[in-house]
This record gives sequence, C-alpha cells and structure tokens, in this order.
Amino acid sequence: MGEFVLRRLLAAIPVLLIVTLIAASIMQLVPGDPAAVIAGQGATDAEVAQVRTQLGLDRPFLVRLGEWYLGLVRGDLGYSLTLNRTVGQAILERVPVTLALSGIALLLTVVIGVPAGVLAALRPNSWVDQLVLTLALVGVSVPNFWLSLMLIVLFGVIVEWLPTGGYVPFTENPVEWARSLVLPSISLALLQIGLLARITRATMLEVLRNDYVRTARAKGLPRLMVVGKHALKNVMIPVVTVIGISFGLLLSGSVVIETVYSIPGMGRLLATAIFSRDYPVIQGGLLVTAATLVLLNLVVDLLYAALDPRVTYDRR
Amino acid sequence: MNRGIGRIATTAAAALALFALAAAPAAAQKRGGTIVFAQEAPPPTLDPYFSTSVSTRNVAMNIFETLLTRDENNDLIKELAEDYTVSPDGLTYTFTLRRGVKFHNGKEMTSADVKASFERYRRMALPKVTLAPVDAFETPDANTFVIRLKQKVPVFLEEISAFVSPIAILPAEQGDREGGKIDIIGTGPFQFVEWIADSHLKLKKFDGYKPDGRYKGTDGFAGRKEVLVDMVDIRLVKEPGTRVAGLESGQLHIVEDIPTESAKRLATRKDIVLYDLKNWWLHGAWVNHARAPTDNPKVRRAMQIALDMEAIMDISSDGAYALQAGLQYPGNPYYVTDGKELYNVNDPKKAQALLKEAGYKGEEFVIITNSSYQSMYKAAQVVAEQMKAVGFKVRIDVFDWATAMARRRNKDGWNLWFTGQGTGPSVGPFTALKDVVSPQLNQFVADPVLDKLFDEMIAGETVDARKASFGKFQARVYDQVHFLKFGDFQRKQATRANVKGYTPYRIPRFWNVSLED
Amino acid sequence: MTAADAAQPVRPAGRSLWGRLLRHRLFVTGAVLFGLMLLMAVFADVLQVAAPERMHYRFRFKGPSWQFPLGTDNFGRDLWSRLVHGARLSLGIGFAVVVVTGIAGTAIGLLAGYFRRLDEPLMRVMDALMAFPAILLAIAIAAALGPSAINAVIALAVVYTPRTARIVRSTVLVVREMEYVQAALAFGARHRWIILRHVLPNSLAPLIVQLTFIFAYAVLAESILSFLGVGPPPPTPTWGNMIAEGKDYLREAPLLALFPGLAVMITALGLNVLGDGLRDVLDPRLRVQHD
Repeated sequence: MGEFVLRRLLAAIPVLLIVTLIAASIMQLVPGDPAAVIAGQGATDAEVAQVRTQLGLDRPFLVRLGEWYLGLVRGDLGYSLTLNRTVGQAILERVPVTLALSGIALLLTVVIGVPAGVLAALRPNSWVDQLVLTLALVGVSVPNFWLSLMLIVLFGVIVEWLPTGGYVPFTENPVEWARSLVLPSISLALLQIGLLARITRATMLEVLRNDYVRTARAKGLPRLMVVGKHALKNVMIPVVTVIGISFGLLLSGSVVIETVYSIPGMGRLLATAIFSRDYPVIQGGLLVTAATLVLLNLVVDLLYAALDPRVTYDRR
Repeated sequence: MNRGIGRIATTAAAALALFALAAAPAAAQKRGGTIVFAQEAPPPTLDPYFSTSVSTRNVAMNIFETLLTRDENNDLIKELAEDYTVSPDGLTYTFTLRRGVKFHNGKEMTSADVKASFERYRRMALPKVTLAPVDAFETPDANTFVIRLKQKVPVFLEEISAFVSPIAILPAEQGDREGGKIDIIGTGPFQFVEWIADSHLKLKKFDGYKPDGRYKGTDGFAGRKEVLVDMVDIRLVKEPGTRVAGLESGQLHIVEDIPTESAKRLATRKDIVLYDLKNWWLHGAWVNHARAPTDNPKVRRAMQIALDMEAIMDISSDGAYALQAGLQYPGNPYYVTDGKELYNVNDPKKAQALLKEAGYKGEEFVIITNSSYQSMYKAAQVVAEQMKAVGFKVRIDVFDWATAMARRRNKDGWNLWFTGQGTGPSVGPFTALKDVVSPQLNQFVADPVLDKLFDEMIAGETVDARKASFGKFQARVYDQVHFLKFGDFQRKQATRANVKGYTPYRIPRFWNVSLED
Repeated sequence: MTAADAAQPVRPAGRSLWGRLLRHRLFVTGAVLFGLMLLMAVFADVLQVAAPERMHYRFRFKGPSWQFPLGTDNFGRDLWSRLVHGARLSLGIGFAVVVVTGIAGTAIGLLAGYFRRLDEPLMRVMDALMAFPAILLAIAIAAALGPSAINAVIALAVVYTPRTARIVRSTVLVVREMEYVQAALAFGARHRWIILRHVLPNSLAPLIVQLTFIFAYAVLAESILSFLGVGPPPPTPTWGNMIAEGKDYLREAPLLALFPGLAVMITALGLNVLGDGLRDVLDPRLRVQHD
C-alpha cells in the first residue's frame, strides 16, 4: 500500500509538469497584453511599452519560463502582474474561500444526494422515485450561471433574504459569512446533487437485487439492518468515487459561480487572471489546482481500496 | 425635606437637559461608520504613476494629494502648494509648500519629498513626457520647491495639474521604487489599510490629516476635506446587476455605475438617491487611415454621414447620453463646436451615393470592439447594422479588453476601434485627442496639418489663443475623420438615502461624506 | 467493480434494438424534447418572424405581441427569431464537439488500450489535460484562439476528449483480452482488422452513451463560454450570448435572459434523458457506471 502511494505520487510529477507546460504555452498563444491592461485605457503605445519593460515582459518566453521553473524549485511562485502581491499570497488568500464554498456545496451534495438516492431506490417506480429522478435530471441540465442570476433576483432582491454577492470572511462575521455562501453553494451543488442521487439510486438498486442481500432478507433479517449494514457499505464505493469526481467538478464549476456572485475564490482568481493575462498567477494557480486534483484522486483511490477489497492494484 | 430634594431634582434635570442640548450638536458631528462603495473594475495597481486607469485613480486620489490639481470646473487649484510664482521668462516655477502636512507614517512633508516624487515621475511615470522640458528641480529650503525649464511651456501648470496620471506626492524613500512597487503612503485624508485582490480594498480615516483652511468645502480633487466616517470599504463588484441588488438591499451605500434601465426603476424608491454624472466620456472609435477601405477619405466621409448617432447613443447608453459635436464637454474652458456640420448628419442615402462615388468595391470593413465595456460592445453592433444598410461589408471582432488593446497596434487588423475617451477630454484639449497626433498616431498615418495645429495649440500664450487653435484642430479631426465621435456618455450613480454630502465627480470623493442613521 | 464487469458486449436477443428504444419511456421523452430544439434549429429560417440581427429601433424592450412573439431586446431585435437561430448555433457547436471528441477520443482510446507501449504516454497527457478544471481550460483555449464558433468547438473538444478516450480505453482493455481476439491474434490477423472488426464495434455502446452526455455538456459549456465573452461573437445569436446580453436587464426585462436559459435547459434535459434511455437499452449493466 505504501509503495502504491509512493508510486502514484511519483507518477503525478510528470503530469504536473505537463500541466504547467500546457498552461504556459496556452498563455503564450493567447494574444493580449497585460501591460496594456495595467497601463490603462488612455495610455499611449510608448507608455504601454514602458510598463512592459518595467515588468520584464519583453524578455523571451523561454527565459521567463525557465525563470519560473527555477523559482518553483525554491518554492517561489512568482509575483503577480496585476495584484500587487506574490502569487503565493494571492492563492493563499483565495484557497480558504473556495474550500469553504466547495466544502459547503459538497456537504449539501452528500446530505441531500445520498438520502434522496437511497430513498428512491427503496421505493422504485413510486412517486418518490419519479420525483427524485426528475429533480436530479433537471439539476444536471440547468445552466447554473443562469440559475444563479435567477436566484439572485429572487432571493436577493424580491425577497431580500440573502446577500446578492460579495463575501464576508468567517473571522469577520460568521453569520454573514454563512449567509453570503448560501446562494452560491446551492447553485454550485445543484448539478452534483442530481448526479449523486442518480448514482446512489442506481447502485443501491443493483445492490438490493444482489443475491447476497436477498438471501439475508429471506433469512428473515429486518430490512433496515440489511440495508444498513450490507447495502450501504457497498453503495459507498461508487459514491466515494463520485464524491471525488464531484469535488473536482465543484472546483471547476466554482469559476462561473464565483464570478456571478463576486466571491473572491480560486476560480475567479484564475478566470480574472486569464482575462488580464497575468501569466504568473495563471501558471501558479493552475499548478496548485491541478496538484490538488491529483492528490484528491489519490485519496479517492485509497478510500476505494479500503472499502472494496476486490479492487487490485496491478500496473496501470 | 421633600421640597429640598424636589428642587435639587429639578435643577439636576434642567442641568441634564441643558447638557444634552449642548452635547447634541457635538454628537451629531461625530458620526463615523463605514461607507461601502461598489466599484466595477479592480485597480491594476495603486501606484498613481503607473496607470491611467480610472479604477486606480478612484482609490489613489483618496489616499494621495498633489501640488496642484483641478477644481469642480476643471480650473487650476492649489492643494499641497501654498502658493506659486512663475518667472517673467516662463522658465522658473517656484512653489511654496503648505506647512504641517503629514504623511500617513507620521513624517512631515518637506520639499525633499516633493523633489523625490517629481524625479520618480520623470523617471518612470507613464506620461513622464510631461516633465521632459524640465532642466532641474531645486529645493532651496524645506518649504520651497523650484522647477527650472529648458524652454518656455505656457501650458506647464495645466499639465502638471492634470489627473490622468497625477503627480502624487510620496515620501522621499519611495523615490527609487519601481512601478507598482511603492508603499501606499500619502498625505490624503484616507489611509490605506488592506487590499484583498479581486474582493475589496479598505481605507481608514487618517487622524493626522489637517483640512485645508483656504477652502470651504469640496472642490474638485482638492478643497477642504473633512472625514466624517471611520472607514471606507471599496468592494469590487463586476456585475451591474449585483451592484444594483446590493444597493437595493442596503449592503452597498454608494455605487459607482448603475445601468440606466435600473436607474429608471430605482428612481421611485425613497431610500435611494440617484445622481447624474454628465460628461463621463466621449463615446467613439478610432479610424484607421492605413487600411482599406478607410484609407480613402471619401469612404470615411460616407461612413461619417451614414450614422444615426442618436440611435447609437441611445442603445449603447440606455438613454443616458447627450449629443454634441465637441471634443470637450460643455462648460469646459476650452469648449468649441467647430466641425459640427459633420456631426450626426444621418443621411444614409447620401452616404450610399458617396460610397459608390468613392469606388468602394466591397472590401471588408473590420470593427474591433470588446466585451469588457458593454457600451462599446453595444455601440459596435448598432454601427455595424447601420453601415451594412448603406452598403458596407462589415465584420465585428469582439475581444476581451487585453486582446483588444493588443490588436489596436495591428495596422492591418481593423478599420474602427471602439473606445471611450474619458479622462483625456476632461483634463483639457491637449489630452483630449493627443492619440491622433504624432508620435502616437492611433490612425497610423500622420497628418502634418493636425500635428502643426497641435503644436500651435500648446505653444499658445493665452487661453484664447489656445482655444482658437483647438477650434481648428477639432475642425480638422471632423474633416479628415481620425476619430468618429458618437456622443457624450453619461453615468448614473446612486447612493442610499442616508449618505449625505456626496457629489459625483470623476472619482468617488469620500471626504465630507457622512452616514446618517 | 472493475472495467471487466462494465463492458461485456450485449446482443439483445429477440426484439430489435429500435423496437426496444421506442418502447423505453425515457428515450422517447428525451428524443421529443431534443427533437423540438432540433426542429427549431433546422427550420430557423422559416420559423423566424424577422432577421435575427435586424434592429427595430423604435420597438426596444417590447413585451410579447403578434409582431414579436417573445418580445424584443434592448436593440429592438426579435427574441423569438434570435432564439431559433441561436438553436442552430448552439446545437451546431454541440454537434461539432461531439463529432470531434468522438473521433479524437476513440482514436486515442483505441491506441492507448490496444497498444501497450502507447498507453503510458498517451494517458499521461490525457491526465494532464483532465487535471485542469474543465471550464478554465476551455476559457484559456478560447481566449487564445479568439472568439468564434470554430474555436469554441476546438476548446470544448480538447476538454472532453480525454474523458472520452478514457472510457474507450477501458472498454478496449477488456475486449482485447477476449478469447476471440486472442485467437485472431494467434492466427496472425492484422491489428487493423482486429480493431475494426472486433474491438471497435464492442466499444461502441458506452461510447455512444457518453457522447450523448457530452452533447449536453457541450451545449451547457458553450453557453458559459459565450456568457464569459469568449464564445462566438455578435451579432450571431447563441443562447449563451443572449443570456449574457440579458443579464444586465434582469429586473427590467427578465424575458431576455429567461428564454435562452430555458432553451439550454430543455436541450440538456432532453439529451440527458435520451442518454439515460439509450444506456438502459444498450446495456443495463452500464447503469452502474459513472456518468
């Protein structure tokens, strides 16, 4: 097991390097000039050129890339072109926000998705089942940024229960912090809840049909105990996998949600950096995000192995 | 015994009442609280020398101050300069500095700080060319600052008081800092607290600030600045809908920019006050003189007279606009109307005929606009439709701002590049359209007549002389179509009704503003 | 649960495939919903009441009427006409993404699954691509290439190909070990023949199901790209563009953003339901797979 972990971690390194290479290359291809953005609308070409030189952007791409890799070895992610701080600082400021948002969304997903799926599976083809399935399907199909806009109007203005944007740090005001995350996490979680409910239901159905379970039932064991002990444990396997995938999707989906709700998280940091061509932030941010996803996959795989002894770990 | 107590009680009550009355005005003065302001764009930097962005200036001009600046009518006004004299030969400017001005770090401002600031500006500021005619800076004593020029520049004071990229006075230690790397320490009424990128900035009242006794109240960027709140929380809210919603729910106190449609709806609410910021920017587009078909003057004329400026402005601003031909705003000292016979001609038939006459063979007409400024995005679409109607073959390229800016330098890439000229015209005629004058040449082909008129304008000895030259300059721009003006864009701002003392201006001014309960 | 369980090829005996599909409630519902949108796209020119770019300057922000069935937008353009033409572009992009992803994903998945030596390098690159949050990668590529329909297709294809390749690969890995494939190899059959005759047909079922879902993702993703400003440029109407333009007028004219959003939702819903039905019919055991 330990060897497996080590091997996986080592395998992740070339992946991460490729990630940074792709990130850097794409940005190189992206036309557009961070110097122009920084210098402002009214700047002349000469002024923009000046900014470019001051920021060191007129040096060749390979030089800048090499410098960045060297910095990486030292643990230095570089200095943002537009944010007036190091990339590391910018990321550290954002990570807790996105984690909070994704965490709450994940919580909602599991707390709503799993019971819904189980319930639907326990009463197949009933109205409960149909309802869950339909809602799940709708959740997966709705464009969540559009839904966010509708939600903002509904809950932020017409009913005025919740803030319509912005983020209040937990340390500043826990209640406001929670309130500012309600709409965004719901918008974010909707798709995942639908997915998880469906998968849970499907797995549950499969497991319930399983001979093993039927035998236990036939033996007269109470339904609840059967469900509780045997079925749920087996259901958790794909559920755990989906949760892992969900978390990745959540981080990805947070880009749009954070933009619509003006929440200063990693997603928005990266999106804004792409639009303002802040290369150091893009490269550093994508590296951190990718590393997180890789680690996450590893954890999910380990959990998977712990839950299902049938899974073997031969060479990929 | 009872009566004794009764008398004491009554006296005490009366004393309390008197005390309460006396204390009341004092209590009313001491307001405090935090103003929450919503700004659309994040500032690329807080170093005022290193950007011409509005978003930088919004914040920086509450933190920093300058020697000279502009008042409510765009005239010169003294800020950190107590007074100044100009030598008869126009080569020496002597400034006497105000005394007892403190920086946010407690240090007192002296001429050494002013000199270091000007030298840094000359070294690395974006418009450092402003200080190119300077021969030397001198500091004969701690309260006097002298600028010696190499040649006479009649508009020198107008230039160093310009706020496109203001010459903020920094502590001398910042003098060798690179662009964007200064410590945010100024002399202004507000002090920098923190900046969480892409979320908000916080400023707090600078207790060591001494309001300028020469003035009575707010006046442009200067005046008597008293801080009536404890903090300012500048939130960065990109989505206009979210800004409006925040204002309606009371989370935001002042919002920089409200969509016009929302403004109509908000006007009925008693808890919200709306403001018109007229003359926000000139809406228009640069015209490429090097690329077909706009390299042909007749084609340019056809395009110019084909457009219905009212439709363009109405749609792109949702009704918050003014149609006028000037490249300055009405009321500015240099406002002229030369060239207006070519503005908003709106004659598609004549345009069509002219286009044929010009020999237009269907060359593709490329418009570059951007998705970052909705008004430019919308205006481009209307312009494209109107041009197609008279026979042009039009293609619109929409880019994000960074790409659009990069593409502007591509001579073969566009015929019209959509823009909003805001600060330039508001500062004066020399900055209004300097981008079509050599060496910048947004239109890519130098116009010697225009260049000569510009030089003539700068060298004019009196305001009237300069104004006359500017009139000819403007007429030439209309004649040759270096810049296509659509109209004046107005901005709607709004505050909660409990925000008192706020007057909209080119930046949000947080001084003399208070929050009532 | 390993890949082995997942990809047993199923040949339904008795009833024809079509018969079973049409009897499946989900499939029919999904097909109807999606079909409606498809009809809109195909017959856009006939269904429109005005040219979608035409600005009726004096009829801006009008509500639904005989002249303008869904009303007009801030430019005075007819919403209904823009909606039907938007269908054309949004569905067109979705379809293009499916085709490109299908071809690229299958090719890569086949190569990786069949030829052991290609597996590692190919899958490393796929892993690297999948390590990017999907939308960010799409934004970056679309921003790099410039805003246009074709570039949106490329961006989305790059994002979805790795996922497709993975699925094809896992199927191929299993099929490759099957007896008849091993036998064919022993008899000296050429790789190309084996792939085309055995491997590919047996990998199709999960692929088709996956592609249906990718169509849905692509339509949703295109709307996000357009919303963020890196999709096809104006004045071409796409549903994402329309939502983006309508978001500034949410309170004053909610219809502007409401209808295109609904259209995206109905399309994605139809496709998802269709995909579910397809999956149930083609291989019930797939129901246990991840989406």
